[in-house]
Amino acid sequence: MARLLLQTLALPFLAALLMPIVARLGDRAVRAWTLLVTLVTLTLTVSLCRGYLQESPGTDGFAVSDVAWLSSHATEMPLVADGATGPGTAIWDIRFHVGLDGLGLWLFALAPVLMLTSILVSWEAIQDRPAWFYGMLLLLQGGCLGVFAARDLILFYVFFEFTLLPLFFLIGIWGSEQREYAATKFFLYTLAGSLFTFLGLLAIVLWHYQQVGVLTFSIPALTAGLTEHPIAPFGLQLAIFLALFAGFAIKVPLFPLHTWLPLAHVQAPTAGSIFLAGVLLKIGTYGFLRFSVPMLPDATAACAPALLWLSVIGILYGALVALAQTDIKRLIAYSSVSHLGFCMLGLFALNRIGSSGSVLQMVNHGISTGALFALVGMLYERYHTREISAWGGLARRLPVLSCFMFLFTFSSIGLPLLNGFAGELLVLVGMFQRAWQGQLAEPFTQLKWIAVLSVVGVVLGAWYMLWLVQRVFFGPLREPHGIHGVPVRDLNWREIAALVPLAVLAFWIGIYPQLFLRPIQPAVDALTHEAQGRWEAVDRPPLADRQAFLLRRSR
Amino acid sequence: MSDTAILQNHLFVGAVLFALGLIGFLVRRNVIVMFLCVELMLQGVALSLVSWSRYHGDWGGQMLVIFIITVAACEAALGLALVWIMAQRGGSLDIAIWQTLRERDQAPYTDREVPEEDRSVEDWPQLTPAGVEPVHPREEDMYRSHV
Amino acid sequence: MFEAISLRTLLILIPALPLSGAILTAIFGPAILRRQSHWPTVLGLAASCICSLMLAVKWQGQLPQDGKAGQGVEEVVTLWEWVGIPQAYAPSPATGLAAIAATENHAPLDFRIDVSLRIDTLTATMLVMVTLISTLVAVYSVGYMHGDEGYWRFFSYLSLFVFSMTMLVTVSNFVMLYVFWEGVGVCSYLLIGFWYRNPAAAAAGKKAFLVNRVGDFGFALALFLMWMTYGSLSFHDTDTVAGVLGARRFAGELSFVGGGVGTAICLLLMAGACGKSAQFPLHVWLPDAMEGPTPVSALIHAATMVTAGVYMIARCMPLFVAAPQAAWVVAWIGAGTALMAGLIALTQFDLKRVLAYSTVSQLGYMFLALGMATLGGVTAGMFHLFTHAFFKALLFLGAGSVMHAMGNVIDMRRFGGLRHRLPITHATFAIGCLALAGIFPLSGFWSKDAILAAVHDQAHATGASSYRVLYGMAMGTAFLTAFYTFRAFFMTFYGPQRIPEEAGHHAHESPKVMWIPLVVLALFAALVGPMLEWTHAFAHWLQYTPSLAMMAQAAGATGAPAAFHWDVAVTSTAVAVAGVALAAFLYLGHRREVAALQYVFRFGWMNPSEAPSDWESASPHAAAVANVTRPGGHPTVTGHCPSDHPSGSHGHEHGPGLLALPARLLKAVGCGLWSLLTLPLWLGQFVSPYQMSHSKFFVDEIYDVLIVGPLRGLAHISYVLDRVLVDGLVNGVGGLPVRLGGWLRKSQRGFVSLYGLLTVVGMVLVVVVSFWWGV
Repeated sequence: MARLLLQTLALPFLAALLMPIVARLGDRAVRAWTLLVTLVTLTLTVSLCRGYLQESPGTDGFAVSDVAWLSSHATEMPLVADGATGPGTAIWDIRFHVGLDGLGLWLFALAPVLMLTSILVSWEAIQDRPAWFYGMLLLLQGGCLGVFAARDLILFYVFFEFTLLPLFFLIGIWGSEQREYAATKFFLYTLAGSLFTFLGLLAIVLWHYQQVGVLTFSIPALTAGLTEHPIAPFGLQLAIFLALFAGFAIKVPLFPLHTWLPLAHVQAPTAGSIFLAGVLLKIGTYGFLRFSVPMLPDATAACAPALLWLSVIGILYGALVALAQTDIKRLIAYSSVSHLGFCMLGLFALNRIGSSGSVLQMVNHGISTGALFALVGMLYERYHTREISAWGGLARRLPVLSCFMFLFTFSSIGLPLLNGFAGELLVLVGMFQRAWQGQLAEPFTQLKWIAVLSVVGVVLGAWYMLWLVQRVFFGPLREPHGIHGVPVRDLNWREIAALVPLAVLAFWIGIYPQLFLRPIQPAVDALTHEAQGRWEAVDRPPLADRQAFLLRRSR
Repeated sequence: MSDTAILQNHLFVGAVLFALGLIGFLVRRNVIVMFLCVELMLQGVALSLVSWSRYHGDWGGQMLVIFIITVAACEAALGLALVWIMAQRGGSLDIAIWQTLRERDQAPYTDREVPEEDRSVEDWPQLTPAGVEPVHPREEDMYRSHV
Repeated sequence: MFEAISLRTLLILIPALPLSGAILTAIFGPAILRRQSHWPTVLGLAASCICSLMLAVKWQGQLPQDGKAGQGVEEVVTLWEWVGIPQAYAPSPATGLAAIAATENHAPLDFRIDVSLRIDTLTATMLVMVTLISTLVAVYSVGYMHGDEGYWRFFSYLSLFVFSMTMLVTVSNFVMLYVFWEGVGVCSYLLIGFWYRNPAAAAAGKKAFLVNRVGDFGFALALFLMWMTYGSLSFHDTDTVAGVLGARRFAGELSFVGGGVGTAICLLLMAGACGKSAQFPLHVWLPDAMEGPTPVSALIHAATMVTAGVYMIARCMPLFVAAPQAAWVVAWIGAGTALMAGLIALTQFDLKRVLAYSTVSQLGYMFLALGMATLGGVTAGMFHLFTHAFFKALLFLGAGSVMHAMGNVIDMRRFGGLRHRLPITHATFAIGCLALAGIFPLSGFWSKDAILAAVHDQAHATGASSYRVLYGMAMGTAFLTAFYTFRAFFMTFYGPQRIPEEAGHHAHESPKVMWIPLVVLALFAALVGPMLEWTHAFAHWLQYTPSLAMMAQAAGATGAPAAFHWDVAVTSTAVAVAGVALAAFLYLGHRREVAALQYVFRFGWMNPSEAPSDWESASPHAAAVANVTRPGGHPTVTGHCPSDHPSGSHGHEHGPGLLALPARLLKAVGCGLWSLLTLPLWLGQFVSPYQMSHSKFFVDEIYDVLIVGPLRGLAHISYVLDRVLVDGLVNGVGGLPVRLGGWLRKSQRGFVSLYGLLTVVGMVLVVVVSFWWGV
């Protein structure tokens, strides 16, 4: 299995490297090659998932391989001034350490699925330098796979930053009118945040080294070490938390840091949007769950109410702004802000139900929003507009497309027996449990407000999506001017093939979510356990300290 | 005299040399004088290096000074060549006439009147063009004096 | 064969058959079956119906035969684990709730949701009703939808709906209930918007979905609170945990939660039920939902889906018993809605809308019964649900038959006197009307009477005046029901024959495939009530539902539901007959609606042209009306009853059978009604009661102004803020380096000495700082 994982990781990169050679055979060869590689990747991923479900390795990694990457056994690093706690020397040991666990498994698997959709959607839409386009797409897929498989901190960061590059070019070269501006903004915004993240990650490594005496970048080792030796002055922990927050929250994006997202989505080519919404945004929530929550439990517990507020504001605000959109792609982009708010809400509810549901919701959002962007791309390909007001009654002209649109709209608004519902339900139950636990009969606390307001988001979510469907697909037929010469065709087999895997997944997760939850739940539980304990500690001296600290700071 | 006292004296002289050079570099506007002042600062540093080296009984400092002298010699050659060209071009050795590297919207710095730049000579020195060597006439190659 | 099929198989087959019908229709409908697309659906539904009947019979055999009440029987079939998160919730001992089972060694509770089917008498009742009516409606639709280009789509949706509905009444936990609750909502959305090219239909579908979402918001909150309070979301007990409505809770080990939390749970559940069952604040979607095809209105928006709220509250009745305030609110919402919808139905001209408001009103009746939180109330409510399903489906299908003949015209002002053209429709519609009006001995009489008796009993038992008021409201509603039902009946089938030009020359009785379901439904509408009620069989049967059985036991009742009260029965019959008679007086023979109603409702000073219609102007009384309605030009509100007016007495000469009625009763009822209607006028004097009723009390408009508009505005403001403020901040921060660079640029003077000076300053700073920190 370890070899399988390595092959899966290597395949997209190798395929991208071979692209200049394939490009000489013509554009058709480029497409076929990318499709072939992706199908193979998908097959490998599916067998990985099957292997995982059969072995059910619990909280340990699965298919782990660990080789030295940037290691120096000779260099001594006198990092610790007082050798009291550590031996005073260290081995600089960055490793190529990859493996899957319950948290990353489905997100890892999502990348090739969305890649398949992306390729099929771009098949005819991208005529400009397709070799480069598909090469970038393959690199992006490789980066996304790497992020979720990395078990070494530096390796994670390398993949984390690497994903920016292909997407930067995808938006900047194949995007719409404002592509340069969008690409630059997207790149600089996320980069600015992730540099802070890097500082925070290094601080975690150094703290671990100082306390335990082993300079390691291994994420499991760091998690275990920091559980035993939590970062001590709360101020330091908070500072590191905020540094990590800067990068991850921008990536998510959490409420006030979201403005790059609609721009990037609107300007990106369809494949870029699919990947951006489907996989890249999840890296932010994944990062929170992988690093912030288990490694900085005190700061997590202290900041959780604030983050919950930001999440719920994001939910409502994203939904409201989506309601005011005239551009179909921007509407879906803002709905992403709202949906990611649910992910964050469940995550920082910090209990079993909420956090597991949050991870499930990440996968769900990838499927439904990815599919919605694909559908919007198909509409754009036919009509060359994104204005909602330009369309009406398309259900008659494009019945198959409409069918899929209904399906994924329902999935997006969390309709039962489709994927969105299971995640949303768990997130909300988790949030309610967080708010009501132990204070059943007490008056409304801020957490209770958050919980209730988040449910309002569900109602608003239905509103804007159904409004969209009503405007575009119902009513008398209305089509943009200037396309009457060429009759608009309904979806062809290629486009149906792009959507069917996502539809199958949507039903599958909706009808039998336990299959998908079973790996997620123990992994997430292990990661959030510490922070949950901090939050729920009955007598809370640390909390008093925290409050004292915050008060001091505020003065 | 103790070693420490000798060190102190040497360092004092080195510091005075450095300070004189520094002040001179900052206040004078004649390019050659400024250049000399820089050399003065270098010598101040070199002197203190030598004195520390002697104090510690370590050859490292003196070695470094030899380097400095070598580099300073090269630098002087290059620098004086540049100064000569500048003087030829501008007709003056005043540093204030060479402010063309300033940002576009900045006014030139003037504490007193800046001499007018002499623009009579327009033949700028040119580097050998890069690329393929030009084709030379065979006869010329055959009868070149230095071959 | 009959014995060979186990309960489990039957339970699975009942929803599975419609589902497979839906899938088969969807796959083969568009290309292969085309005009035959109804076959998978009709066969699937019929088979499902047979399975339901078999299930009910089998279940009857499994009930304890001693006839003793207070003994619940249920069986649960677990299919697969939907979601399971082990040890998710450790209830804090500090809460001191007796609702959560003390598990062994205080292990945290699992969050476990199974896809599990249950069978008890309540479920069996609903299953029989749902599958029977849906089968009949499907058969009817074969004729009604004939030639529609979305033929296969219609039957696919219909099957899907029946699947969701049967699952809804079969599942055994709240999450799955919610799942199929939304599931039927989606089918409703799809079917309302079936003719999607009509913008009104599309908007109505969206509205239905959204209003239901608002209700579901409450349902979801109730669900979450229930999880926190009871530590389980199952109806039944499992091996480890006591269910919310499980036997262990009745056995006295655990209690139901009352007080603030219990009331909150119940009120939130009720909010969900209000959405689905179109009760007062959330009733606005149902009349609009009439944009859908008429069979859909009959099946979903009259007989089955809208009763899901009633089913849910009946299912959760023990919770309501523990929170009497919530039950009281249910009763008031129900009675208020019943009265309000009845008042609105008085003035509608759209036949289907009259029926829609009548549905809202009747659902309010059921809520009223449930709000009694007594065994009699619940059984009466469920009984009314059962009978109402038949006669309302019959009425809707009859209306569909009329529409079919009239070329899809549904405005009652444009047709009339159809009884000769549509004899079968006329006869069956008459039976439906009589049943709805509650005329002895049809079904409606018995179930309505049971409800009135339950309210009456509760009023006597508690002595609270509020229950007396509720009783009065229920009686008033009974009068209104009889009146508007027969108003519609007379306007449609009597009077001079009028046929709109849309109907062409083929205004004839519907085909056989359409009228046979009508006849079957008419039989049911006539017979179900007396057959089941004469022996109280229905109530006894229902009492084997575990929750209701335990309720009966707790109440110490002997198992007999509300007894038959002669006084209640006589009063309600009299009121109903009065309503019918008034309708006959106003609409039979010469149509005097304009004269009488305008006098009653508009007070003459209102502009008669505000509700223009060719029918009114065609009335022979139009001129007289104009005279009557303009007494002085000065707005006066007087306290005269309509029957005192010469115009009213003028009507005596023509009104058939009116003299046979007790005039005083009529007068009293008329006065009461009239003063109630004029109340807003007294308060505001800005709009007449007629208009209030005709425009549905402006609830839609109020929502538009108070909720939809502000939210839309907020959305636009948010978007502007997003661009200007949030993105502005980001761009501002992003511009900082540029501005800083612009400022630092000034130091680039190109003057060597200045660079030297800066270098020296920097060096000095480094030295000073390093000395300062002692590095």
